[in-house]
Amino acid sequence: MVLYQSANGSPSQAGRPGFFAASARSGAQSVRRLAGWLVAASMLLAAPALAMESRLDTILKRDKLIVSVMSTSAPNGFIDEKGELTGFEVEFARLIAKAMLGDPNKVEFMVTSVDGRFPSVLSGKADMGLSSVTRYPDRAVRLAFTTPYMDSGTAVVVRRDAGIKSLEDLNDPRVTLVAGNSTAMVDRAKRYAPQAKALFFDGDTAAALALKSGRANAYQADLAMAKWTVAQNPDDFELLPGLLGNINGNSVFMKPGDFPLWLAVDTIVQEYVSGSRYDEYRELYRKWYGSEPPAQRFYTVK
Amino acid sequence: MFDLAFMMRNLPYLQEGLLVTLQLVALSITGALTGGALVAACTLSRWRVLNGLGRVYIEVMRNTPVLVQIAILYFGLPSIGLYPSAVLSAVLALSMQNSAYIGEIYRAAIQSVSIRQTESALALGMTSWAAFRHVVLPQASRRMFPPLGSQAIFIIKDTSIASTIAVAELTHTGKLMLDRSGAPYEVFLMIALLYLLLTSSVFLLVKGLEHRFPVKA
Repeated sequence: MVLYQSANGSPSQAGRPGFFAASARSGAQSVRRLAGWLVAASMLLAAPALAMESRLDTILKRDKLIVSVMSTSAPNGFIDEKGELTGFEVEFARLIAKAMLGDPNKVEFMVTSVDGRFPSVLSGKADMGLSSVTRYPDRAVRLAFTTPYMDSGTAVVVRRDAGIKSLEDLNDPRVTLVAGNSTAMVDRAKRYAPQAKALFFDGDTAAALALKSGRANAYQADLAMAKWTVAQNPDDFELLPGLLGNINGNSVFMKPGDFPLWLAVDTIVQEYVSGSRYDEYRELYRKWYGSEPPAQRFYTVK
Repeated sequence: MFDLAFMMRNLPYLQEGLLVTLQLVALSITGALTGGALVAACTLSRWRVLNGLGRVYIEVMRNTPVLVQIAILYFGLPSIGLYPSAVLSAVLALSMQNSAYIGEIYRAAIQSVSIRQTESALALGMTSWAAFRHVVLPQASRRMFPPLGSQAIFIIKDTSIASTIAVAELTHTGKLMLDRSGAPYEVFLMIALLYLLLTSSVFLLVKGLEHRFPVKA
């Protein structure tokens, strides 16, 4: 609709308030002008209201969740032998869809690389992401995180022929330590193995390939991924005991600033991880990690 | 939402990556120009074997993605005991692929000079090398500048593929900055502007060369 017209335009055009019209007006024109202002004012008020509509409503209206995941991060998100996208995070995203929309299949997956995971939600393309993302305080400024859905930590996989026996052995110029290209990985390499040669690849698949092809002798990765890599190559690789740094957690991440959406997703995650749907979460966890998840409560409920 | 101050503040941190990119560009362009001369020497040769080899090389190199070639060199060669460094793998792949294209540019430019000019030069008593050096090449080289310029631009852009094998060039550095800041628009825009700066300086260089050595009708 036209909200204004030029001074040269006809002020009597039906339904069009003339903001810049000539000054001489009849009573009817004044009323019309007032109505015009009211329409304009209401639209101004409505505009921010529209912008503040939660993405939660959009998801419910769309009746489908758009989730950003990775396909090169086994066992969390990867393509299986049948060519299908699967993994712990992919399946957990389905559980979120089940809780939100009543159907685990109401999900559209958006596959990204390591560097594409944050832009995928910040650009608004995906509603949320489950991409083996560790929550860190410095990331909390630009992203909204839920309660972690799994413990995580950074472990190191080494080649059996490398002669590296402990995390301390990594700080040696003869060591080439590889990882996916993320700031946390770079910082850890500098902190724990400043003397080693450090290389950062597009994703864990490429970093693991560098280890396998003998380009590197050590590889730092999320614990789950590290265990998986060793399980795939038990003859060539082994896991170093201990973690690089503290235990942390992998979380669902969203574009910040949308409280209703964050609250809903965070509640759903908590309900799975330690609440009313713990049994479904435990089943999924056992399936992908072959072990028990942390207990629902650390104390006994009487 | 767009944070100009963020860009100004973080631009200096892309410097190291930019230097590595410049290094990749310089080495790859040199490699491709030299390799291209060898390829053109083969395809223009009268010896059928050499000619065939040149054609096969061009088809194989042009028709496989440079990303795959880099992966073969970097991840594949270790299985036969060769460990070219990441930078060397990237430079080799870019040089090999682009020498195929550039070989064709050389050949087309040389063949575009009328055969009668060579015949006239030979009739005047020039040796065939002198005819090539003093009659054909000066005319052909002027016609090469525009296509060589676009090829150089392709090389500059393709150096970003080296980020996949952990070469800390411009794109790699930018992706890391993106991971730390979570500011995709600002970071990618900065990277794009720096590539644009590199490619437009090549464009200006080629324009200058074209102006200095015009093609005479």
